[in-house]
Amino acid sequence: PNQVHRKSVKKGFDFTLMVAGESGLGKSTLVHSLFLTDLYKERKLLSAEERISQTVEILKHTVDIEEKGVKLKLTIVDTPGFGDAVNNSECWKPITDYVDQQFEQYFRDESGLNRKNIQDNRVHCCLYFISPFGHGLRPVDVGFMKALHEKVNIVPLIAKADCLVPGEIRKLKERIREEIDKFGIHVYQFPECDSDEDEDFKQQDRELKESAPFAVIGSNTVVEAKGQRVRGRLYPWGIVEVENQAHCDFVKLRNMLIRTHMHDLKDVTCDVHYENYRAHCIQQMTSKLTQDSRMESPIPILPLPTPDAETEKLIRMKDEELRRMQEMLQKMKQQMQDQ
Amino acid sequence: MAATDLERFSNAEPEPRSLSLGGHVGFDSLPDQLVSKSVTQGFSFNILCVGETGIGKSTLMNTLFNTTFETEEASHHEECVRLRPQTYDLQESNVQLKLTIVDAVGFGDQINKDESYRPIVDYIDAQFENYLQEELKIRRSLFDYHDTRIHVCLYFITPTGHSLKSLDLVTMKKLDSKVNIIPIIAKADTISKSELHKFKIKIMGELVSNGVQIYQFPTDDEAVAEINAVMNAHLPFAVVGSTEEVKVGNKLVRARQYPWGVVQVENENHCDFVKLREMLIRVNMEDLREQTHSRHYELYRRCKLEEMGFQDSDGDSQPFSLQETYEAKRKEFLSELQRKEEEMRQMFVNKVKETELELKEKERELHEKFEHLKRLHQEEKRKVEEKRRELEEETNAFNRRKAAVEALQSQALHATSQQPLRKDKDKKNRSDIGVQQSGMSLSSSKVMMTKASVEPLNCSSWWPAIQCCSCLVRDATWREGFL
Repeated sequence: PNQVHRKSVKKGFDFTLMVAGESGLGKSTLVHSLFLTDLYKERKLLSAEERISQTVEILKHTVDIEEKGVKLKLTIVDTPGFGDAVNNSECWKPITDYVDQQFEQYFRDESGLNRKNIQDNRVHCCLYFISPFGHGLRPVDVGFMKALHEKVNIVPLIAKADCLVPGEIRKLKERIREEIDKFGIHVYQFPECDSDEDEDFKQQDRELKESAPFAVIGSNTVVEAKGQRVRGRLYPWGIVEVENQAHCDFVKLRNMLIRTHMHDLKDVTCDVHYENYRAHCIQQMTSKLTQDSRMESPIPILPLPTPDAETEKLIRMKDEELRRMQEMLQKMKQQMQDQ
Repeated sequence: MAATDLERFSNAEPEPRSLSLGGHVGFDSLPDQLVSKSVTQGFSFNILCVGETGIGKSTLMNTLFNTTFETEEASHHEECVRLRPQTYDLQESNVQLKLTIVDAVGFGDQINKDESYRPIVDYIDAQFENYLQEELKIRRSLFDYHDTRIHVCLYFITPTGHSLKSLDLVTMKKLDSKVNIIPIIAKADTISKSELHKFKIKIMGELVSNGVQIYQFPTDDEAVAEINAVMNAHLPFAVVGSTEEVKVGNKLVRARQYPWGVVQVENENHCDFVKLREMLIRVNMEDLREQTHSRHYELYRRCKLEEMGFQDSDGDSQPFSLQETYEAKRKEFLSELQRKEEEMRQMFVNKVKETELELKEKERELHEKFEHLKRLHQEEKRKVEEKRRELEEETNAFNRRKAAVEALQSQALHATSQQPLRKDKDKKNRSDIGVQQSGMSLSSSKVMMTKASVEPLNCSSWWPAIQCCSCLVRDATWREGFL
């Protein structure tokens, strides 16, 4: 295990995280709190009339951070404009296209000749921010999650949790869990821990599972509370501490995401989602080929990795020739019958 | 009538003179009479709450009026926005209030929110329409009429901290000319003081730059001018609503209890709830009603009547009579109707004629075709007949030739030299060569010929030859070659 440790430290890790949700729910603040880095130095926020017919963009920020010799290449994929326009039908389409694109690129790289330096840009985890001002999931939330749950690990979060008293938080979490079941959305499930782990760990794991979806609060500012400097939000009636477990689930989220489950998220992405995509892609290709030879329709251009393209072209040409010969034969037969 | 009287008066006296009273007359109690009358009559007030589901509209209503209006929680999955009006009768120290709260259910939930504002605008217009109808009635009872026009619209803004949402902007623009809008920041316990300040400035800036007219508290009445001016600067109010009571110090106050503190609803430092209550209920309710009636309702009425074709009296100074204009309009309308009916009937008749013509044409065409086909058929028949006759002739010719050949045969039997036979056979050969037939019969006949040429002539060698000739005759090809 030591050797593996040393090797992985040398190689460094990479992690791609996507944040999605309506504007103003605190996505960038939370990212800032999680990784303690400011990614959005000069950000232009659009005013309301500009956002009436806003389209969703995909922005990528990559940072290299290091802690105790372990390097992490962190990519944050942001989705500004999601849910902002007045008409939000299919507003998740650019996002699904982006995820598919990353998969496709990886697929192509994998089937390529030079596999030493593959860049893994696949999205490992998607944090979806649910608005706390409602009674549960909204139609746009449901639509988004259903479009993406088979492609990415979705971790739902309740944003801006400092507007809910503890009783309300509990009710909302239950509500959201029910609705997730009702609509059949597959969010990321924490893996079961082994039975030979110690009791403490198991307890933690259980708590983690019970508090999903996490109710989080983010903050960029440090305030003084009880003589200590903590990160939090200052209100006239009190100070909300971000890292206080009794105040919000931020600590649980951070532990889960970075300290314990990062690798699991990556594994699930590789094993489950990527395999699904790959199988689906290959199936599509083969079914298209058989369809073509039967229907004699023009063969569509398939998204194939380059080395096989040559052979495919040859096969296609031969197919066409065969077809032409067949047609000619038929014509001659008919002529002879007429005679 | 009235206009001309006034004119005479004003011509006689330039303006009313102000006189001073000698003693106490007593008409200074007019306002009191008005007050007591209004109190016995009771007031009515209609509030429209527009905001996303779950933003706290019902809670705020409960908090404002200190009672519990039973409203069930709305779900997020409504198909479209609908309005739910509920009327309550409240009483506070012998003043009665008929309060109607209209809730916009499902606002902001749909994925496509293009038409979200429409049901709201339609509802407001419908209320105006009802009032207009009541006004225009011949026997009307405005005294008793339950006024359902919306006096104020509380627009709940989501506390994102950045700016207004696009949906908010679009909706407010549509509503600002129909109703008094007071924007409110809901769930304000999620924004800290500094953020709140920035947020308010941003919102007001956006509203102004987009030309949205929100309700400004009136500053012309000295009694309330000062306080109103101050309040105007605090728009939009950031409120927190709560119906639960929490013990703070040694009092029970309405508040929300968090692990990190308690947000008191009636504490000015914590939120602007008190300001809102002051403004809405204690100070300006009457002004809101007034504005609704004088500004928004009049605007609606003017548009509607103009639509119907009425206009105020223009240059000819004839007094404007609703009745006459109405009659004239009616006549016009009826004559229009009649004209249209005629037109339609005419069109219908024309169409029928056209279709008849078309049908006739088609019939004619069909007849022609039939004739044509018949003629063709007859021609074909004739040709076939001709061919048959030709065939018969040829068979006759052939029979004759056959007879001739047989005669020749019998002659040749007596002849000694093979030359003439050979000549015949050559002839037959040549005719055979002309034939494109598959090899069998040809070769066999050739063989026979050669055989025959070698051996001395006898009947046995000829018969096969003749047989071949006859089978050749059965095929048409021989005939061609022969001919």
